[in-house]
Amino acid sequence: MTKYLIKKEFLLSAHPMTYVFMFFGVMLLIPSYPYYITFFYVTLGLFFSFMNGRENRDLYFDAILPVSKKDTVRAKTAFVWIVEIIAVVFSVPFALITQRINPNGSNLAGIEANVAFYGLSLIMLAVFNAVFLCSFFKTAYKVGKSFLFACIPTAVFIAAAEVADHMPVIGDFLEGKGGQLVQLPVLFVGIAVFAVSYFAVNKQCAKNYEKVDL
Amino acid sequence: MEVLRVDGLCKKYPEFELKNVSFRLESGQIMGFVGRNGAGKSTTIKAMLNMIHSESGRAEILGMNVAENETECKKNIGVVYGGINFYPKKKLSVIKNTVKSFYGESWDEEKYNKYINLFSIDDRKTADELSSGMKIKFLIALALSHGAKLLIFDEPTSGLDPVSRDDICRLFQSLVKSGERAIFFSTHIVSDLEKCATHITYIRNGEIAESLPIGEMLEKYSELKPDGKPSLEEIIVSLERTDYDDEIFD
Repeated sequence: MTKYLIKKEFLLSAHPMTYVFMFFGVMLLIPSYPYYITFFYVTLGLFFSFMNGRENRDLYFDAILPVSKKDTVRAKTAFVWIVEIIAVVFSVPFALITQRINPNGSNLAGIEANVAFYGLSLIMLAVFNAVFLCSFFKTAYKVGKSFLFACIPTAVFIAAAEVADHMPVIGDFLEGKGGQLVQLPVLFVGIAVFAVSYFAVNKQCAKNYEKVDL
Repeated sequence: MEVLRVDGLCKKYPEFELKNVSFRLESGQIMGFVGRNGAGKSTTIKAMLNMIHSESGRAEILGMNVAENETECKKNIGVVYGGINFYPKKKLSVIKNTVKSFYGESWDEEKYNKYINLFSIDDRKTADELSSGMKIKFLIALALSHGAKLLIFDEPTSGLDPVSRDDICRLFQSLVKSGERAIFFSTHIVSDLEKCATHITYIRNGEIAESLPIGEMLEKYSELKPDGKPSLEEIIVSLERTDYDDEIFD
């Protein structure tokens, strides 16, 4: 049933801007830009979809379909992770191009679009998802408040990561001055955090939503 | 065959309480669930469908506990929640295809086409382009296409003109004629009950005051009128009437 619900998310709940922001990876071509913003737009697109779902009484639609509350949570979390994975994968060719046209160290605003950037971006997305979804499924209607709550740690994370990028030693590492191979552990940690948080968030959201009276 | 059984449902809100709600419904029956605004009709339906958590009690659909077999129970029912009010800007065919995917082989596309033709519904339209009566009929077509044994409606006739209300009532009667289905519908329009319901469950302040065949209800309260034939509306109004002390307003 979950696969049909996921299809429903893309077909009915998804706001058109979710699809537009999903392909904002092209922003990595902008010279001297805080590249974390590229994926922040993706989270904004997800916010639009949840808002769209609420305004169209999506959860009431689910409630009359032969699915459980757990299925609803599974589908919505899967939707979030799928959109983000597509956004990240889509952005990779633009990251490769930007490294050619804007070589390492030339981004005055912050981190380069390199391996460490992807690892840290995945952690950033995991932080956003955890706060946004867990907060949303506590009420199943407070989308704006949940987005605001999720933006705070996300903004703090971006600020800290970009400040680190301007620090003497860690900055050189993040800028890839010692090559990008040494950055691989950051990417692996990012992938692990992003993957593990999917299951943890799913479990916690199911618990939260189970308590909600529609 | 018993289609719906509700036993001792209780739900407490700060300002309202559903108290020990129990009734049962068999196939071939149309049960009108009546009560004034705020009496607990929608809360009962939500509790029956596991949309809210009841403190105690249980609801069974076709012998299955809804709380334990939610998915299986919902496969056998069609719920019409005040007309189609979800995704009003999407085409009905898109909504249909979405709903269809959840029912697998129990979905009958031929039946769907038959019913939308019968109801003169163009599924290339959006829900917003349909009249209130048509919205209900579209959801009935969806429910019948997956072979629902129980149709649950929340206020299906409120907001409809008298002709459309009569149309829906007559449709209800046709739907249960085969004896394979049952209809449970909440309403505060008592005259609709007289037109089509076989049974009545009357809720007052969160408590079931009566649950019996409509004929027995009329007989029970026959003393309310000198000729012994009060209408259902007269019975309900007399039971609910508030007497004001005129002096309060002086």
